[in-house]
Amino acid sequence: MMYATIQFLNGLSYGLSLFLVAAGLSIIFGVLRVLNFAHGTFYMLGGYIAYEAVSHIGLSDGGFWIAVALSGLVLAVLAAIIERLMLRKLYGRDEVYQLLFTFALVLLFSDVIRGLWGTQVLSISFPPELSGAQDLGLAYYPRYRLFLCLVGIVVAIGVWFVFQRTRWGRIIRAATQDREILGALGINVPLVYLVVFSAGAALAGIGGALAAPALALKPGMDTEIIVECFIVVIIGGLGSLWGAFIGAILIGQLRSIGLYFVPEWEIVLVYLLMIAVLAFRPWGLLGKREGE
Amino acid sequence: MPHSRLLLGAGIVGLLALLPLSGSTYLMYLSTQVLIFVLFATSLNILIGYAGLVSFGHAAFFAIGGYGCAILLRTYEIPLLLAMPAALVMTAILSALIGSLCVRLTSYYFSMLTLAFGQLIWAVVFKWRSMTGGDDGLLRVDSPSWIDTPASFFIFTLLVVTLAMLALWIVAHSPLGRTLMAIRENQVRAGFLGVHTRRVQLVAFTIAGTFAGLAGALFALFNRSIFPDSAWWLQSAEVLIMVVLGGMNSFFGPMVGALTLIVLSRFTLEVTDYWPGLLAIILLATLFFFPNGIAGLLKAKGKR
Amino acid sequence: MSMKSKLSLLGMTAIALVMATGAHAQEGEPIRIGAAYPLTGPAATNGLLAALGHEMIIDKINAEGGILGRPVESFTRDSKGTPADATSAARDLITLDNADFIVGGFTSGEGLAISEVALQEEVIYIAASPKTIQMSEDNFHKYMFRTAANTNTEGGSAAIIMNDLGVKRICTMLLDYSYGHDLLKGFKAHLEELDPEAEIVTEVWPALNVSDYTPYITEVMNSDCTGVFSGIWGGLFVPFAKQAASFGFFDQKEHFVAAGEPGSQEIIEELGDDMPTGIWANSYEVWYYPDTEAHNKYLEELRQRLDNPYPPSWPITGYMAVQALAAGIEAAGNTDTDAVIDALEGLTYESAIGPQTIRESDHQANRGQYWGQIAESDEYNFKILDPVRYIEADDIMD
Repeated sequence: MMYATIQFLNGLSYGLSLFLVAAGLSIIFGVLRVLNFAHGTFYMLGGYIAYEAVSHIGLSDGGFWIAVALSGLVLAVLAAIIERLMLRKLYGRDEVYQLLFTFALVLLFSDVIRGLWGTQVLSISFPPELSGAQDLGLAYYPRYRLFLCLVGIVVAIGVWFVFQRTRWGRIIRAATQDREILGALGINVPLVYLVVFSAGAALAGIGGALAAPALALKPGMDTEIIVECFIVVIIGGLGSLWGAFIGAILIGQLRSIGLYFVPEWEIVLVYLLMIAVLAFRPWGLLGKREGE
Repeated sequence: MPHSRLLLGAGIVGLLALLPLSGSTYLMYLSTQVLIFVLFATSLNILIGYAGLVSFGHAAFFAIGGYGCAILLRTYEIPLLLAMPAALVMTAILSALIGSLCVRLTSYYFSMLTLAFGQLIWAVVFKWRSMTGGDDGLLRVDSPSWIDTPASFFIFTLLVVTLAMLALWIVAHSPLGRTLMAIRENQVRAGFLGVHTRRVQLVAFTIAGTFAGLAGALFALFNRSIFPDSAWWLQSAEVLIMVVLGGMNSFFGPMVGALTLIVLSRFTLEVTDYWPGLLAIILLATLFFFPNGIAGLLKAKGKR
Repeated sequence: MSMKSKLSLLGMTAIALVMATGAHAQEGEPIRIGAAYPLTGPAATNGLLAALGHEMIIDKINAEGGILGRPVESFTRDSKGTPADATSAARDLITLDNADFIVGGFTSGEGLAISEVALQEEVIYIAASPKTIQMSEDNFHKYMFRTAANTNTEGGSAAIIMNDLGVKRICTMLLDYSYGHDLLKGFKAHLEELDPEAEIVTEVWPALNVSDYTPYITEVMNSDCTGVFSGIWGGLFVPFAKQAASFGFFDQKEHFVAAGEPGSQEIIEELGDDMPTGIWANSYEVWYYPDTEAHNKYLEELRQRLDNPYPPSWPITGYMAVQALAAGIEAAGNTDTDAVIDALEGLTYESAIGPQTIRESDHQANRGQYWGQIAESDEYNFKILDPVRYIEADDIMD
């Protein structure tokens, strides 16, 4: 029982931190129709920026939280600049240009990160207020990972709330459904795109900063996470917030369950789930059917 | 016009065939590698340039062809002249199978699905240790003695790639090629005109996959080894960059792209390790300033 | 258009031709040594330091009058951590730089790929850090030599440590790729010899590119083993150790034996206080052990290069490969490939960490393993290996 509980929490906390990154990827696609390969790069940059900040201001006395906020901010600004100066010019062009544009960002920033921080593995310690383990009655569990679960759930509910209850949310939902309608309603479409791209990147940056203590910073983490995020959104459905949520949770749990039942073939299991979804619902569990 | 082109093509091939006279092994290796990627990139362009389908998993077929040929040669000791066609048949069947699932979707969904299948192929290659050697790869993929020197292998590659390019050229300029472009321009209208769009796209997908497999088989023979990395999505991205850099709206664009990318990366790496960054800048310049690639640039200049 | 593009194609071919023949024309006095290390990509951390060691030893040899009185010219190319790039780096070294000998490689895949090129081109290759046993068994050939330890030695030495700790029930946490599977083979074989009663009760196999080890950590904690053998190498150990510690893993599992060099200075410093005290870990080299003249001289050079009093351990790999090669050429008296092969077989050479012997049968050096128990230090602000044990390779190479 204890074992099952802990493995469930392992899968949940991993899945929820994956969700932070995949959610932005999915929403950006929903609104901008851009499949952002650089989303993993934003995540990675977030981690390195947090590392840099922590090495200057320290971890304690809220230093870690300032670092996380800073990562989100820097990424939001960076993404806004990228959208305004470059990406904007590619809307309406063949999708291969947008794909390769975001891929060029992956290449560019991987070299920028290498130039600034080198290639060695870097890590941040757990913030002092969240180190150690929490007694859950059934089992002890690391506080930091419980916190990651909480963040994932709060973000999911927060984004959902924004979508349902605010003007901006309605605009974004409308944009996901039908892009032509936006211009007709007299909405400043370029601004919507800018804000969505920027917010998605900020979410990825925060995800990277929060993952830094639990994982580690190293070259190649950008392309690793982006493949996982693609799997998540393929399963959940491109453009769907709850799809990304369900996809992330499924991937997280599948790893824990797979390890128990088919330890040797656990990676393949993830791909098989993906193929199974694609075979029956090519547009993902909660995605909307193409062309509608 | 086709006659002068044909003549020019024959001229280039003829000149290339003289390369071994230089006596430089380095040049043989470099040219062989370029030729293989010329074929790989051109095969991808059948999908992108003609069918308008952006595959992000084309390396899967490169790897299937490579592993297929290597396994038949090495494990089952089948002679090359049988092993290579057999590997192609295998690649064709798998391309058709995967393609039949992929062409149900278009646009980004197609790109993601191909990426996913590419990764699945990678995972299978990586895990199926008894057959593929896992991440140790397959080594000692020996060519028969008549092509086991760099020069003779180069000539062999030149011959195979020339024939394959000719075949692809015929495909691109056949009714099939024109139908693909019609679908690309307007899928709905092509549908009205009685074109079975999915079936046509599937044929294109299979052809593209098979020729990528041929390139992969050559690559395994060329390196005398093959590793799972050849199926990894970054390999798919690299060949996609070749296509766009060279120009996807031209049959010969990807050829120029493959040559430019390989030669440029060699020269750059003599000076700096920051090749990925430089490539990113070149790519951005291409996307914003000459979207039709080098071929488009040359065409524009030629008209002036 | 295509006319023009074809012309430019011809132009580029011509440039390549001139470049290649130009390079080919150089045939001179110096002995040319090519090195292929990952200088970019995820393995670059290790590769750059190995390349530094390579550069150091080349400079030292040249300062001392070269090999056979001839200067040494060195060429380094980027193998990028992937076999295909390693193949082309090795080919360029041989055909463009006209290297007479090649050294290097970091990952197992790179080692196998470079070794394959060496066989084709009939050039001697000295593997500096790839450890996979595949290179000296199924894929062995006469041009391949190895100054790195092999996976049998590493796994076997871990079995010796485990046996000395008296562990009977063991869990393994090895990465699910060749290196992990090869390590287990070496570990199992020697464990059976040492203690037939000891058994492996749980095996977990994290994939090479996972960043979250928690499901595996939980799985092992759920097992009743008392000792754990891991092969989570180099920088990968950093996230693993932090995740495991947050679960109280190292308190519950009394004995932890970590292969894959997590005991190296680089990793110990990166982990800082998060480096678990009391575990056993290995390293390519330890700057405070052994206290011999050759080793101290090496460390002095390294400290000067890096301006760092506590030098990293990876440069030794590149350094020793060239030491072995130079000794082989000196012994052969010329640079003829077959003569150098003959000389290297059975050769004992003086390395920075003491004498090493390359055996004839599979060209494997008897490179032992430095193991140590992680302990707090009074002197430094990082943890150290105390005690350090050097486990000889001679009985555990097979």
